Amino acid sequence: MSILVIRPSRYTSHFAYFAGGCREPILTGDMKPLHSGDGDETETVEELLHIRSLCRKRLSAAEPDALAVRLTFTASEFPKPVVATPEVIRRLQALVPRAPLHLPPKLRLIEHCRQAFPEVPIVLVSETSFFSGLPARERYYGLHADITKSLKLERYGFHGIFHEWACHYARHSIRQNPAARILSVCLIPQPEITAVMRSRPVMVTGGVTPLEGIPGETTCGELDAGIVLTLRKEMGWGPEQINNVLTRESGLRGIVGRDVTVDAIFRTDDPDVRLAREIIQYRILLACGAGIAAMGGVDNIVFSGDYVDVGEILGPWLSSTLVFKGNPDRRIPWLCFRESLDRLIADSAELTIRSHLAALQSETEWDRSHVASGYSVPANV
Amino acid sequence: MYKMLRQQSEILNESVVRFAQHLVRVPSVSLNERAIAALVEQQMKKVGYDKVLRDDYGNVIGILFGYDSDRSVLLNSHMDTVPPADPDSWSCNPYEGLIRDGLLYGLGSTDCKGGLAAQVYAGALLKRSLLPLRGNVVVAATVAEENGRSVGVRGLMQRTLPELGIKPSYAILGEPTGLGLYYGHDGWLEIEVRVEGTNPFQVEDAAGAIIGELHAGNGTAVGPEELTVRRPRFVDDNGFRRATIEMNRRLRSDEEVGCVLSQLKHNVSTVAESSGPVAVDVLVREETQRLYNGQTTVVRHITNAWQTDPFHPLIDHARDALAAAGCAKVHPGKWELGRLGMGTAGGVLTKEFNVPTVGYGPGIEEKAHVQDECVEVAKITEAVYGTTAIIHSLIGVPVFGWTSDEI
Amino acid sequence: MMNILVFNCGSSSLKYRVIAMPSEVQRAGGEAQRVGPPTAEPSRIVYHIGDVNGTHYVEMRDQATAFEQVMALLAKHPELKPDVVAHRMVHGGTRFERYALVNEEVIADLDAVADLAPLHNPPATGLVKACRARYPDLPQIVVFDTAYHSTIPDYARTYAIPRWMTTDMGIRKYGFHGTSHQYVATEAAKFLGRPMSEFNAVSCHLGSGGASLCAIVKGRSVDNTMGYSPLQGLIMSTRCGDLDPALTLRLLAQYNGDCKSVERVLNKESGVLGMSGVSADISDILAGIAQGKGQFPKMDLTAQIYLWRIRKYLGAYMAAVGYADAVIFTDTIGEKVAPVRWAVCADMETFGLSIDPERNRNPSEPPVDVATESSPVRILVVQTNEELAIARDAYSLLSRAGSFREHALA
Repeated sequence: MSILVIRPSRYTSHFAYFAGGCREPILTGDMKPLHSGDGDETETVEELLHIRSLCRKRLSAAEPDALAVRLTFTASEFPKPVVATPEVIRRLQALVPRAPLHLPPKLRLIEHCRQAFPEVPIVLVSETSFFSGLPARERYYGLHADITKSLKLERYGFHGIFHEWACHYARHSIRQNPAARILSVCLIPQPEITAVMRSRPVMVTGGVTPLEGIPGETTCGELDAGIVLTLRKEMGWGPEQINNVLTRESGLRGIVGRDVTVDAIFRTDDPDVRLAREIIQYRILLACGAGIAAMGGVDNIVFSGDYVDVGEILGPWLSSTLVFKGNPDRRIPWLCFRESLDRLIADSAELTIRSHLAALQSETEWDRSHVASGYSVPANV
Repeated sequence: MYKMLRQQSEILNESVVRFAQHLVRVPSVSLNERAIAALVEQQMKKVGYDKVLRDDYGNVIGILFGYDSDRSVLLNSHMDTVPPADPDSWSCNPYEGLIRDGLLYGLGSTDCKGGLAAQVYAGALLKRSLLPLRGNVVVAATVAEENGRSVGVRGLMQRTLPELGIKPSYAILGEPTGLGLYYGHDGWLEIEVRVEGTNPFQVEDAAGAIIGELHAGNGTAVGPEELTVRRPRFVDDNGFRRATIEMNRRLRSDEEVGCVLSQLKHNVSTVAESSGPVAVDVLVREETQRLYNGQTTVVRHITNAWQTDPFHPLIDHARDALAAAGCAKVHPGKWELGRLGMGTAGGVLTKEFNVPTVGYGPGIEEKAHVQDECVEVAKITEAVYGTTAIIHSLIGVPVFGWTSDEI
Repeated sequence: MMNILVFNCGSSSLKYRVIAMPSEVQRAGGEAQRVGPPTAEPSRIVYHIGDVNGTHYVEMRDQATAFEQVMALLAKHPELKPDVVAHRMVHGGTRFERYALVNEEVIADLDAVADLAPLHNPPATGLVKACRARYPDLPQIVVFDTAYHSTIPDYARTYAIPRWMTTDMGIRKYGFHGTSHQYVATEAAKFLGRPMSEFNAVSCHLGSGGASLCAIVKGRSVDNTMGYSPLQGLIMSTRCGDLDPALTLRLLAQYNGDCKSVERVLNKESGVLGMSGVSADISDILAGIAQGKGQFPKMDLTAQIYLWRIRKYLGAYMAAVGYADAVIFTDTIGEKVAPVRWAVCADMETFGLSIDPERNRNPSEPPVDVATESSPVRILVVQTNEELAIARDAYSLLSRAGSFREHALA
């Protein structure tokens, strides 16, 4: 199945074209940001049409079998990837106020895709789907029930695609243990950790927004609420300005005083970044401890994400640090899952389309793990 | 969010300036706003307002709908200008839309076509930014402000918006504030003192006595600099002689028009008594006007003094938002309203309709109603961005915790 | 021999003890309970004088009334006349060391740090002032709760915010309940026969008002779930605990930037009270569920969220401590509510924790071990005695300073 993956963003949208049977994309690139000129948006459609013609040239095939569009937030609305239908779009529109910066440009891009590829099904693959089954005890905050309800305050993870496939990989490819309890550490600009039992996450570091959790490259992560109030009182800042500081000027940038990546702090002995590294490492350790408590134990740690290589450093460290009295010799096995996000989105889309077709043809429920067992294991394992 | 907003805003810079120039090129002396209204309407449609309409008063209204409409922000600028005082004294054609050294020259450029352009484009920026709104944004370009004492705005608030089911929670005026946040001004009252009697000499004496008293500033409760008094006009009518004295008096925000008039009447009546039996009356000057679309309306010449509480959340939100957006530091202030006849729709909005109002516009008050009126081009573009930031803090869906980066 | 009257002003209680030093004999004591807004049970002073116990029901809406009531109770027994009053103070900021003898300057400094713990410092400082006004000749000492946490390493105490906020504004983790954590750790080490300097533990101070966990390595605090303020960490009776910072901003915007309202919401209307809508006391909730009132989904959910948060932090701190010798439970909930200990410790064998359900359900007098025989990590219930810890501090300060009367005159 050939799939055109699109990861839309406010700035440059990314695309990757996977031809049937190939693990690597045969075409990748970036699209101009939405609204980069002061005219209307036809240019985006034209760009998509251009990509379409490129796909045709590269691959004598006529059209991709499906478009896969990555969504960063769909709350708990869709537990699995879905094919974009008018009904699905309506449900997404209702979610806009809960992801005000992310959903609108994505909805716009879906419209453009629809115009450029009128015959091709569009599969929406969402990062929060994986967390739609998060238990209530993990999902809710210790706030007044009315506030929780009126503001729709629920916790999500924001990197479900990596987590889901990494856990799947850990379960099936290494120990053939479908009941494994897995700590999944997604190493990206704001690392995220989730604890997964069977295929259900029971703990995650993300929050109502991606701001909570492990500090990121510019985001503060977990913070005492009193600090926000102090900034208001002592600096006289309004909530917008505090938000600027916490989302843009904090995290590694705040601690180190300049821009550094999560990757870089683990690869240098620069004394400037030592504290930042220790903080991130310590927060990861705490989150792992919490995750182990949440699952009542742990069988594997799996690393994924853009900075998956940092797992080679964190893996041995966590494995030798997460050692407790009574079982001093036990080392938690760890592994790195190096598949690219594009490929995972394509895989998710492919499964969705196949199950869609299968359901249509035989009306039997599609078994995800059945398909996935044919999934090729990367060479580095 | 602000980074994204700033980027999008910069893309619009050129077109908003072009639009402001265009507005200047279309003459729009009060009650002759037909052509400019058509231009504004066309532009609003072009930049993607959800709904654009023209009401019975000739106001042009553009609306962006939010998720729930229990709150709305009204952006208001008037389309009309005062008549050009003396076109020959201008260093350039007041209708050319000349840009020189970063300044856009022209009649109404500062008051308040620059502000109007910025407000229309604030809506455009919101639309392009794809930022979801909780409440509605209503941009109203109104008629008959300069000469009509806010006729356009009053009609908008009395009929047009209620018919649309919109009740503004806040209003932002695009009047010249130099991108400061202005929360009010003193007002002006245009008064006619009428003296009437059967004995023409007694009427002249009484009028003279009253003028003398007024010139001395007695009995008016304001200082001489806050008062102008014209020479009386005399009319003989059916055995009566009537003297009409026109005067203008500063009105502070804590003064009631009725009290001012009755006090003045009491004082001038006492003065007139010594001249013999004459009848004295004190009235607000009234005028019947015909709007550009043919409707007529009676105008009372009161520029209401008004003030929004400087600690009102509107002012706080606006100031916080501008600071967060990285705009130059703003200090809340008030319009000076140095010259007679100046005013804003704030009085109508705050006093008659109880809508908290603030001014935020690119023009400068001293440049209003003068020859070589001009506005800084950079301030127009900054006003687009700043206004958008203010609107978002008032009725936008909060983006706390999110960044526009990929997550 | 001197009588030290110790006050421990909590957010919903006022504990007091009259302790004879240096013998450490407790001559009288009690606790004004449920001070503040009404809960399912009435406010009262549970007291004892010598071996005589009693309960005095009286409405106490604030700490000052509670203080008057306690003094009135004590005044009936002249032999209990205090020689010195010692107060527990929650937050010393950076202005104070472990303890201070009260004078005008100290009171000014206390006022200066009041905002750091808006729920706790002001009533305690109010108490100091009331006491000084009423008994001007009585020397007073304040002992600070934040002191024990001064050993928390930089990587655990630094927030990932711009550096200048940490250095110029003092925004960092302070940690609270230090006096209690230190006391129970000392007692637990004693109980297990280990020197404090080699003792590793996770201490769970689960009070009816505030609650925190403390990671202890070699007898020193290395982390505490409370942070810059007592708002962070566990879910408490009326406090929210951990929050997405974006949520605080949402609330701040909703209340038009009014910090007082948001503080009220987060400090007094959240936590167990806010979630359940029934009571601020988790034992009321658990008892309600046990009595079959659990069909009210809010009560079930409240209990789940409350217990889950403790469990996650216990796991986190077990990871931070590594080879823990013990997990310690203390304070009202920790000592008295067995289901809490069980829910938090069950199925935690990975960490070397194995709780004995029977021992846990019916523990003998604390200090007591409720772990199974084979559990590598001990699970201890230890009665906290912050008052005794404070009395010890007060006594050592006064002994070091020579005659306390001289000191009081100075």
